Amino acid sequence: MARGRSASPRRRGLGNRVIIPRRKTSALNKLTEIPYKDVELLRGYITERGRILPRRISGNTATTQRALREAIKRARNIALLSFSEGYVNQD
Amino acid sequence: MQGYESILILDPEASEEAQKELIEKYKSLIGSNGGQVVHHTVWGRRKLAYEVNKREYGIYHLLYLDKSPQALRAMENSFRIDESVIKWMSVAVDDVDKELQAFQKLMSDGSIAQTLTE
Repeated sequence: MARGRSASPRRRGLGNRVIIPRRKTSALNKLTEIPYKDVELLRGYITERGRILPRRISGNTATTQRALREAIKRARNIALLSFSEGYVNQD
Repeated sequence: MQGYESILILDPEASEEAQKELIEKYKSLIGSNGGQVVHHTVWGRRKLAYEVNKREYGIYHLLYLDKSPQALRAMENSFRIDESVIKWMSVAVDDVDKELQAFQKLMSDGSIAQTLTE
């Protein structure tokens, strides 16, 4: 008997935290370049508020994320995507 | 063939003829500055993601130029004083033909083809 640890189902320190499963890979990782004109594709990688999803969530590789970042910024520049969403002018 | 891809947003009020005239004007401007418009294609009327010069819609055009920086600069300088060009962006591309094909493929797949007319 006597293994060092007790067989408690709950690990110390984690409490009841819900663990959100992450997308392990992203479909973009197969692309060689990301077209800034493909608005529908880019929409999948921004939040409702218009921010770029971190790659921790999307599962992009560093290279892909860099290309995606450029594509999103280009799309924003030419009014295909908004810089921010849901802001109401207080005037 | 290396070159530039210029995407322009034209005034939504502009008629078909006015647009054609404008594009012709820029084609000759580029020609007289030692450049060449390799392709021209119309994306169409789209809702802008944000207001530009108080406009909610814009007509998108794509111009593919050969790699002549002087011609590009001349064209962009006249965009600045042309009120019917409300926004533009130029990007250097490695292969203008490939870019055009990629765009046409996106259009035929339908995901970006919707041209809003309300």
